[in-house]
Amino acid sequence: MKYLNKIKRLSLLTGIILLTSCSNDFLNVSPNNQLQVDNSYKTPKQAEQAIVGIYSNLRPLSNDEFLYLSEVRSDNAWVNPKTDGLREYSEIGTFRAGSDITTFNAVWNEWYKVILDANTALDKIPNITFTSDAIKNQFLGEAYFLRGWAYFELVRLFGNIPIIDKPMSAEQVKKVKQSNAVTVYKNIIIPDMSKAELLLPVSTNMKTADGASATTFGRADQIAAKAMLGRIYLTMSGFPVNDPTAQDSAEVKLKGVIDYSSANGNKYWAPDSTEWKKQWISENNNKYSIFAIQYRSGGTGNMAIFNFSPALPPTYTTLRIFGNQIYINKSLMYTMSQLNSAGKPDSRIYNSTILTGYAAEKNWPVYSNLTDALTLPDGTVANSVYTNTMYYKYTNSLRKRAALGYTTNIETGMKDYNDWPVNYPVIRIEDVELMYAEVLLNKYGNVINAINIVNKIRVRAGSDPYSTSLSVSDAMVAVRLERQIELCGEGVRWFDLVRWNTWKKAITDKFVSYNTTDVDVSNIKDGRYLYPIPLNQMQAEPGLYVQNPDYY
Amino acid sequence: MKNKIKNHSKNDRHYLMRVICTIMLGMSMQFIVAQSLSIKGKVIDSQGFTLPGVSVAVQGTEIRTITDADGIFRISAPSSKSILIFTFVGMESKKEIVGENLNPTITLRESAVSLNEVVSIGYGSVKKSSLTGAISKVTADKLDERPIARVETALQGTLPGVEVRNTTGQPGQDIQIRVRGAASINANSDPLYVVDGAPVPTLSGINPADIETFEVLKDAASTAIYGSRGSNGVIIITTKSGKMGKIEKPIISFNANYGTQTLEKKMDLLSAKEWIDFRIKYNDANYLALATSKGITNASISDPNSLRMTNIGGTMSAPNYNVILDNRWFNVVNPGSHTYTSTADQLSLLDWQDNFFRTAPTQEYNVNVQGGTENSSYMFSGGYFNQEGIATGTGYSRMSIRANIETKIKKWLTAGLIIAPSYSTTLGGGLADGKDSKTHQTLSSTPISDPGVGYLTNVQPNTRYLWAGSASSPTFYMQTNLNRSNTLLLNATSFVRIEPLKGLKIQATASTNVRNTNGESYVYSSTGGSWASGEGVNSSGGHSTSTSMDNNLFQTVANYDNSFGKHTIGAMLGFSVEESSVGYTTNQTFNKPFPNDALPESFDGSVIAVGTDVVTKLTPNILESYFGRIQYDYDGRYFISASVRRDGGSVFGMNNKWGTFPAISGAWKISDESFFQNLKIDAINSLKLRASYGMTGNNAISQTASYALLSAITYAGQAGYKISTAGNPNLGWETANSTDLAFDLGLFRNRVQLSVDYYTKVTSNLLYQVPVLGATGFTIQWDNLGDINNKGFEIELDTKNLTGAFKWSTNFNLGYNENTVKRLGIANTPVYSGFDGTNVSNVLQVGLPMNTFYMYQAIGVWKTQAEIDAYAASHKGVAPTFNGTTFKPGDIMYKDVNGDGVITTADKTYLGSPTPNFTYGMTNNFEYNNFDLSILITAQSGGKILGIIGRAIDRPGMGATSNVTGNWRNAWWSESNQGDGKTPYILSSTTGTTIDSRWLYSSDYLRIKNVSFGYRLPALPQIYNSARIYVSVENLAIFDSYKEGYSPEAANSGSSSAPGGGNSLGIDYGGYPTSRVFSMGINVTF
Repeated sequence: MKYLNKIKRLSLLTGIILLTSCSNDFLNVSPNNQLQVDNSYKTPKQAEQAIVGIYSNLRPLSNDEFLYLSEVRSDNAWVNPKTDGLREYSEIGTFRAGSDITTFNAVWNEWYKVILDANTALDKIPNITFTSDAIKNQFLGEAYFLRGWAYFELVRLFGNIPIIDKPMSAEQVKKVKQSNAVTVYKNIIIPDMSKAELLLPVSTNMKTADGASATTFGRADQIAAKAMLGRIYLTMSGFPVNDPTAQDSAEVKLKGVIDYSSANGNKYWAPDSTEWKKQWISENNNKYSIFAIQYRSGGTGNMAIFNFSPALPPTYTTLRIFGNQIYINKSLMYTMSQLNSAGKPDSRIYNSTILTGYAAEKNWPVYSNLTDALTLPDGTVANSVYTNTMYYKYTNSLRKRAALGYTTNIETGMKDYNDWPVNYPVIRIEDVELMYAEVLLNKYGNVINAINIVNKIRVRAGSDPYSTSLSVSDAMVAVRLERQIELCGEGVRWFDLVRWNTWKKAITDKFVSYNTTDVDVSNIKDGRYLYPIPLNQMQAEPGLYVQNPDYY
Repeated sequence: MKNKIKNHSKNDRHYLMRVICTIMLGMSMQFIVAQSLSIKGKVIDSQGFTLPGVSVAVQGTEIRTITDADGIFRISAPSSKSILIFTFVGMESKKEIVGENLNPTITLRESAVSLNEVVSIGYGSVKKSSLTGAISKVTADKLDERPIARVETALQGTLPGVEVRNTTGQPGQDIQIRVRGAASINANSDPLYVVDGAPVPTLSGINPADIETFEVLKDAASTAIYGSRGSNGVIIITTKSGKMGKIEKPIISFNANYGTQTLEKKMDLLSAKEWIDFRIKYNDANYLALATSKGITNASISDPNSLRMTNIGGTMSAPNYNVILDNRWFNVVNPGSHTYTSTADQLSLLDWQDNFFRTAPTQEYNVNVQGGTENSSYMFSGGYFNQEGIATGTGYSRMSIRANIETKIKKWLTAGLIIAPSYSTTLGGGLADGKDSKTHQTLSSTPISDPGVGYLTNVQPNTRYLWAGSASSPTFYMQTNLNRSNTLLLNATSFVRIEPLKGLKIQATASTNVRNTNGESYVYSSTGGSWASGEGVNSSGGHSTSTSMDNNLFQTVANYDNSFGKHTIGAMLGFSVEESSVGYTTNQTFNKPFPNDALPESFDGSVIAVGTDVVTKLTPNILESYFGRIQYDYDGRYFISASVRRDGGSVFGMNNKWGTFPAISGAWKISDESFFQNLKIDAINSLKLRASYGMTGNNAISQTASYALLSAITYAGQAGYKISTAGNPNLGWETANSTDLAFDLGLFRNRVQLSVDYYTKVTSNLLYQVPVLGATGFTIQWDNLGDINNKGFEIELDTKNLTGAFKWSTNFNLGYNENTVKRLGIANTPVYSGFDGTNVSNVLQVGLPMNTFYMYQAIGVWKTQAEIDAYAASHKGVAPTFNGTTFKPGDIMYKDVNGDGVITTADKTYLGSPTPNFTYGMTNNFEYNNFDLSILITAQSGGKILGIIGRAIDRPGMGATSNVTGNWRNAWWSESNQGDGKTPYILSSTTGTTIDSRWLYSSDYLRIKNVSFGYRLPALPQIYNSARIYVSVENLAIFDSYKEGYSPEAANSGSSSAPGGGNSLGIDYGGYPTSRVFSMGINVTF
């Protein structure tokens, strides 16, 4: 009996020991809810998903770069210099911003995230077997487009930047110093964008991985690459690179886009002013744009629209828009409010581009739109120029939509005020045409053709055409002004001012016209056509990067 | 038929009687009516000296007395079989059967008192006298008498080196514990909690009244047995259980507690009248500034509203409320020199703090039954706790049940089971704590509203007061909206223990924590500013669930203990596997517009637009461990203990799964050496030296941290994936090397006991989200880079000051900890963090304590232009500037740290640590007859707290629509009205929202944490064995200098996304206030 007990005890002991013996395999636990880089990029479908992934990084850029670093910085906008807190747009618009402003870091990181995903795609996709080389080439072309574009934006913003052209570890990246702007253009922007132009089909031939049509997804096609190359070359021809040969290349590319459009039934041209207004309505995504950042509600909407806007009352939107203090520069406002010979305003202004105010509503006081005097270039003083007018171009307000005949309530599908399903144009035909007009004037002094381009745009909007017998310099003034009016709010103005090297005068004039001690013209320092290398980047690896002049 | 019924009912009654008997389980119903015996005796010590003040009691009765000055006692015992119990501080207590001798002389032996206590050491236990590590033990005596929602509160102020921080006053929220300082940056710094031998993820759901003891393992020699999770200390909790071995009457105890809570401290804000004064000054100043910028030279504060608007380029049809005045203000104040139209309207004058914070009840009931038989023991308990929060709409309730059962199946085989389900409900969780919370809004809400509106500002049916901000009434919001989360927590443990040989015990344990949470929320249209759009139009709702099994544990531990002569050995060998995070979470939100507000808890995604609809399978975290320990002691004088643990963890990279954690410790009881006894130092009756070294780890990081992952996205409606995290296959353990040197001293028959520990803890291979260059495509990446040093000392002093009829004992403890960052990354690059990751206020930097405050140092206000000119003159004529902007009178003056005459980012400076160096606790217990009083005082010093709420409501630039702190009574308004020299001009625009030391306060405080006064009712054996009533005050008083928030312990705005942000202690953005609780209760034992 005693013996039996011992056996029982021993067998129980053995049982316990057996139960607790485990193998080591189960320490390798893969994440349950996320894919891993190492296991993906294996099939054409996954290749396409990786390409879509690169595009998805563009979401914050309408806001962070095109609104804050271009519109707000330029003479299109006036920002309240004395806001109710540290509003970065106010620091940027008043040229007080130093390297610690987080928007700079955000934009830097956002473009390098595009580059990371593009580098990974360009590294992995060549190893994937496709049934159609055309589709494979298209995906590679898209990745080249996005990477080239990313470097173009980075070089315009920051000047001297590190070139990362393949997947690298954090340790390897720490050894990559900045390259100067010329090197960045020559070594990566031009090669990438040229490869994109070569590899990409036109939008009607854009395909998904399954071979279905991808025409409507707003992805970059050959014409987008061509237009972007035109812009890149024209930028190189101007300040600060001043490459005299680049203008010729720009001419070829810009002409190519214009010719393609006219050969395809004026594909990118809104035929009348109503159509022109409707292109900013969410239903008409991609209707006339050559390339636009795509926004859909449901968490992938456009956050710039909220930040463009001051507070809006309930009859405009059911969303809580509490607003920023970013307004149209009063001198631009004055120019845009001039009536034509028939006593009518330009159709791009009231109720479509710029809202001057609204009446009181329940719980909403009337909009305080103040006025101010403005000294015009000829020395006369215009009174009662609106100073608090809003950017209203993209705002799909209930009122604007109703006025243009759209009755669907787009706000029910939106997660929040950052979720507007409205695309942000990156490049439009009017932009390409006006750049081409610049080339015509610069290279050939061809006033007639240049002014005809301007007049086509003006007349559509209901403004009086210019005479075609202007001097070359007056014609250039007209082209530049038309760019400002037509492309207002589209994030091109600051880069235009830099390209023309008129930025310093334009900003000084703006500061002086507001006659306030809250802005200081001494902040408009020579080096500030560039933004600072963000403080976080300077701190992450001290001594690796050199700060741009006139920043600390 | 009738008979049948009768019979039936008789049977029923019989049955009922049995049930009642079972329920009442041995409640003593006997009446003792025997003849009593008079006893007169004497109590002496081992040397024959008489002992006055010895307590003498008759067991099982309330009959008791105390020996007089000559050691004599007189007592009546019910019978000769009665048992007398003699107790005296510093002596072993003794039981004597009365027997025949009615004049006994009782000898009490000096005891090592508490040194004979048994202490849990992790996978085993030792006598306190043979302890070699640093372990503190708390017996949770009166835990059920404090109205506390969380177990951790009981530890506050009771143990040296254990910092317990109520970072929020929100009922039921987690409480932060730091053992010997924070040793980690990104990985968790919370200790490991072990309840009845099984690790648990949190102590929430555990009823404080069920707890028997706490043990806190502090040094690595003690915690190394928990290996990869030992770095932050281990808290071992043992719950109450019955006693096995002989048949004992069950003890039934019941306690009830009811209390009311009030705001501990009110913040100093402007009153309604003061705000009107302030607003008039602001609008005047703003008007004059705007008019000047428009070239108007003759503007005056007596200008009427219409002229004001004209002068700034506007009209009265669209007035600027920062310029025009409300005529109705002048019914309240009369500053003169203003033009206004008198009006009969009376504005509502508000005090939002009084409105939002309420007097709230708390109540608690517990029943506990414990007992045992020859072969089994049991404990059953049930408790209910309900606390309404002082912030309107918040609250916490918990129902808990626990059963601890153990039974001896054979002489060598024992099995046991613990089941402890709890169900808790939190109302308004997180809504009243921190940035943009309702507490924040309460502080910032405009203190006046339109006539008749009162506190229902900007909610249905009231329109907004035109001079106020757009915030809606926080009180109405909290009263009306739904925000509830329910958690069902099941903690279950079962074990089998065999004893195949004498001294050898092998126990196999299986344990699990099942957690099921569901949260629901609904925000009514009517509670926001756009209520006018109608019912449901702006409503939103959400629902979330989380089902997980955590700490699924299977472990086998063998313990062997034996003695041979003077040698005592103990050995332990064990193995365990643990798995956590097994389960799913779902998160659903629904978008406006809702058709109506009728069903706030049911959502139909086919009718209402779905906002978020996410299902996530959790990634399990697996830990596999082997561990062992050997202890040896010779003659009770020399002790040595060595342990080792090997842990493999799934959270780490492929190349670094396993870690080994050794420890060794020893002790020498000098007082038992003959040479020491020969010294005949009467005062010292025990002295022990201890020393230890050990290595521990920390694995508390995300389960997916080592993998390079893709995240799902959509672009233009197409699905895709983008890279979300950089992988790191080399990611490994964070390790800490610790040493501890200590002595334990007993003086004056152990009436004074002193323990002093000195320790160092060096954390290396810090698990840390290293900031990386943006050019990598990432901003941060997990890595093992960095070292942190903690060192300090702890003193624990227990004294029995008075031991007579009036007893007084004191426990004093003090902890000092010094924390220094030693290495960071490869290049020691400082890491900046702040309340939201972008507004820098803290830095991790080599040579400084973790998260040292780093900001501009505000040293006053530029009072006059002459002052600025004089400063410029003394700096080569260069006018002082702030990042390029020239200072004007009324601007904040900063310390020019580098002395270059201008203020730039180079002038940011280090302004102290958010963690206090010293933490203190003192408990005084008094007893006289049936009365007892205990007073707990807690204190800390040497830390700072940043009242970042100041950035929102206490700076120029935020305008004057909201309320502001009392500082603004004394603001700078002009060169002739300079204010207190600290508060700037409201229109000062130099500094924007720059974070500076204006809002940095010392977090030193001394708090009378708890005062309890109790009375033991005379015994009524027919009804109860003992009964006690008590009153208690929690947070009676606080002495501190923190003006910008409610509690110097608050921490609510660390951003975990920023490197180092997860630990940003001491940043308070409108934290939920602490409450003062007056409570009373009763404890009855049957």
